[in-house]
Amino acid sequence: MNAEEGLSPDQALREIDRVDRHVRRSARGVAHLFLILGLCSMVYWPAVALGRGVIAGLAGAGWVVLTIASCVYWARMRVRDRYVMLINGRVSVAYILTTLLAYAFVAVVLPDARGPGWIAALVAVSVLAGAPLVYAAWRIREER
Amino acid sequence: MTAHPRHELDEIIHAPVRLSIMAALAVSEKADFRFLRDTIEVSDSLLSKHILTLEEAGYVRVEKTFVGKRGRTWLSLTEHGRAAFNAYTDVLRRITEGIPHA
Repeated sequence: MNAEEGLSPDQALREIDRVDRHVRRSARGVAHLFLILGLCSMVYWPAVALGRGVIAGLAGAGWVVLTIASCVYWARMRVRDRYVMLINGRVSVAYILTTLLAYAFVAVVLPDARGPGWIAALVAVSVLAGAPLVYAAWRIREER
Repeated sequence: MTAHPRHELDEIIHAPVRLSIMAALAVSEKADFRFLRDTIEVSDSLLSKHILTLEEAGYVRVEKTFVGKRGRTWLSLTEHGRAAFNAYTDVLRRITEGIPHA
C-alpha cells in the first residue's frame, strides 16, 4: 500500500478487513493458551490427589511452569484484542472460584479410602476446575 | 440536491496509513507500536507522524509504559475516535452500496 496515494471506498473497506483479520488472528494464541491451561487443570487435580511420588511432583512442577509461561506470554502480547479483554475478567474470576472449589474438595472432602464414587466426583470437580478456560478458548475461537 | 456521501468521509481517517491504524485499534483494546508498524508495514517515523495527527484530532490515546528499562508504547482509540471510525465505515458502506443517506 502506498502511503501517499488516496484510497477508493472499496480499497478502504478491503484494508479495514485485512487489518481486522490480522488483529483477530492474534486472539487465537490466547485461545490456545486458555485451552492448554484448562485441559492441564483437568488433569492436575486427579494427578495430585491420586498420583504418588513422581506423578504428583511432575503435576506440581507442571503447574508452576505453566503459570510462569502464561504470565510471560501475557506480558509479551503486542496487542490486546477487545473480545479477549472483555471475556478475560469474568473467566479469571470463574477459574479462581472453580480452582478453590477443587482445592477444597481435594484437601478437605476427599477421604483417604477412595472408592469409584469418590474418584468419579474428583474427575467431575477437576473437569469443572478447567471448564472456564476451555469455555473461554471455545468462545474466542467462535468470535475470532 | 443532496451531497454525495463521499463528502462525509472523515479526511483525517481517509488516508492509507491512518485508516490502517484506526482499523487495527478499532478491533483491539490497545496495541503496541511495533505491532502496528509490522501490521501496517511502514517505517517508525511514518507511523509516528500519522499517530501524532490522530492524537491531535483526539482519536488516539498514546500511553508509554516501562518494563524494567524497556519502554513500550501502547495505542488505543478514544471514545471520540471509536465513534468517528464507526461513522467513517458507515459512510464507506453507503458509498459502496449506493445509498445516499444513512
